[in-house]
Amino acid sequence: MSELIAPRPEHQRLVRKLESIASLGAEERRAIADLPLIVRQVVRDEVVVREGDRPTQCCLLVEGMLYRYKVLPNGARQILSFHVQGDLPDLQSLHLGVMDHSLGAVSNSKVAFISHTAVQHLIERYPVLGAALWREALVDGSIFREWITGIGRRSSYQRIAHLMCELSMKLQAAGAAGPEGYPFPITQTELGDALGLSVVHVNRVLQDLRRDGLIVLRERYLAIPSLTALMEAGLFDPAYLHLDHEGAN
Amino acid sequence: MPRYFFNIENGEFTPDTQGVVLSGLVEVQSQAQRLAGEMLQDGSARLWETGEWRLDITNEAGDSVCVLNVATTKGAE
Repeated sequence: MSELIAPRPEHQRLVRKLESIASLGAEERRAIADLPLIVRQVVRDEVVVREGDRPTQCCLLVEGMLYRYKVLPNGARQILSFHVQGDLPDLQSLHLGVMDHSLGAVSNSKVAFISHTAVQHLIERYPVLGAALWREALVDGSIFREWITGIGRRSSYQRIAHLMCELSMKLQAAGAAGPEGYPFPITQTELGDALGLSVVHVNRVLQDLRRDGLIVLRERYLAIPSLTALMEAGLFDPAYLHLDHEGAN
Repeated sequence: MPRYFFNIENGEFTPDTQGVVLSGLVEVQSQAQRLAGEMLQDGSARLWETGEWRLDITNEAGDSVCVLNVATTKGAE
């Protein structure tokens, strides 16, 4: 774990994220650029924030992939969400003092911490940014609703296809990938823990998806020959990601 | 840890060509019952097409480690 004073790219990531959900003026951009950020490298499986913690800062994912999860007393883990660059996965800690779940790293990642005080100050001075972060939290809720629907009602095949589409759409929105594929660090065990499936079933379904020509998964890279076909297989409708600014200021 | 192969027979034989690394028989049995449950639940077992579904788990030597059978009985229409 290494700490250093943030250079510019981290701020750019945040500007890009907020611009994808709100219209920022020059003043707002400058305020974001002036935010004090502490950048930290985290390694695969490292816990970034733990359930029960009382964070005094939020984190911005700059590079890599994070996931939120809960662990039951019997050791069973449920993964709640996966996060890509530009996401603010523990934004809720700004208003909910105690973490009710944990945040960990799927892959070696770079995160930037922003103090709650700095975020509060930003929100008070720039209502547009306050609305953007509120909207971000609402989209977060929308994604959870989609996951509940999937775990409750989609088949295993549809669930895996759906998750692959979700990550594709999020990475495309962040400017980090095209529709043809993206780095895929998620293990079969993690897929099972996210989608409520046994690891052997995940393994079988991945073979089915491959056999059906929908994916090519090799050396932690997911190639998608036709995103449209994968979306059909996963009954995927991107509306719940609210990527199109609709409702944004 | 050893690798196990979860082969499925439901009218046609679908071998598991990749297998999964598991700690031993207890985990194999746990995974087998979950796999059967999940495949029956989401319909991918296609149980009623043949009326039978069988999971044969083999080790790296090709020996059967355990078998899970789902059988049905036809009644009146």
